[in-house]
Amino acid sequence: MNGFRRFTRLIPLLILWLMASALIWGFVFTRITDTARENKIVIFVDAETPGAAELETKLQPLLKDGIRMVQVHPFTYAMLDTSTITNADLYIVKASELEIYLSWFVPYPDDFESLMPAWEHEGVCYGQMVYTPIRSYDPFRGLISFGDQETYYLCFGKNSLHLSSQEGAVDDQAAACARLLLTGKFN
Amino acid sequence: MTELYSPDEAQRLASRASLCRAAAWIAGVLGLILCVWLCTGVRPTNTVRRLIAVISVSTLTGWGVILLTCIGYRPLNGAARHIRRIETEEVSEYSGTMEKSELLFQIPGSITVQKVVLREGESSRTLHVDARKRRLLPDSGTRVRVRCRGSFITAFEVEP
Repeated sequence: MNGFRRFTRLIPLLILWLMASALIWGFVFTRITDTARENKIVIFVDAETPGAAELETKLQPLLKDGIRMVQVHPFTYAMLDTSTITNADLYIVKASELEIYLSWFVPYPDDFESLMPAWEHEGVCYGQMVYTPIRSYDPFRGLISFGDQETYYLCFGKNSLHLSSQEGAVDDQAAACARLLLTGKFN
Repeated sequence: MTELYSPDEAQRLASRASLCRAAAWIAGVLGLILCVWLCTGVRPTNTVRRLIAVISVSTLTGWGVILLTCIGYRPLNGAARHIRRIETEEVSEYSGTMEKSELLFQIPGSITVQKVVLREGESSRTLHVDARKRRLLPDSGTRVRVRCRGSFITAFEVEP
């Protein structure tokens, strides 16, 4: 059997190796770039996040109490694993979809200052406005692609470990992160 | 007689096989070291780039190892082992008209061979030749005298 025929017979094995490489190293990277929920803030955004890495790098140094990592993901990131999105600490959601995802949220803590216009459900504040198309200054320019149609609200996740008003919370850094996002003081 | 094998052919093939195996090992180890090094430099701002780099290095290294092993080491090692094995076989000589089969078949873990039938009158004898050497044999229909080790032709002479 000449060399060329030997090579063509190896093509399936070469393709298999490519797939195995991608799978194995993708898994390794996920493990080495992740950290425990107690040490990270996870933000899910109902929009494209072209500058997610940059936003994470801006937020992480501003947080304390052992927060080693901030993760910013679009909603599409959690297509295959719903626990990833339902365990998030913060959500940035379109006004038109707040009621759809309401079961993921908890009300704002009573002692959380009113920084921006609120979204209320049955008289309880579940969100504060984090972006509006008519705003002259957009701190998220280049980081999150909100579009020019809708207002977005920032909500707290009911499974967050970083909201002191929640049972089992380890710190209050979700609230600290929320203040940074609502005021734009992360730039 | 025209010899199909040179005296040191087995040694040369074994040396080349060892070279291929060593090259595969070196490529594999270097590739792994490079992948681990790329993993250690991961930051939030370069995660995707590093992941693509690691997958690329891993894939190309793996392909190199596969090709060196399957196209380099294995055939060469199989051929060297085949020569060493037939060197222990009994030598015999036969005459007849040669008919070469067009079919080739692979001996598992060894060489590819071609069947050769030697006809003398009413009788016939089935012999084999290493497929790498088949073009050295004369065309079918030629009257030849062959020297064999076991059933493998190792030398031939065209008879008038």
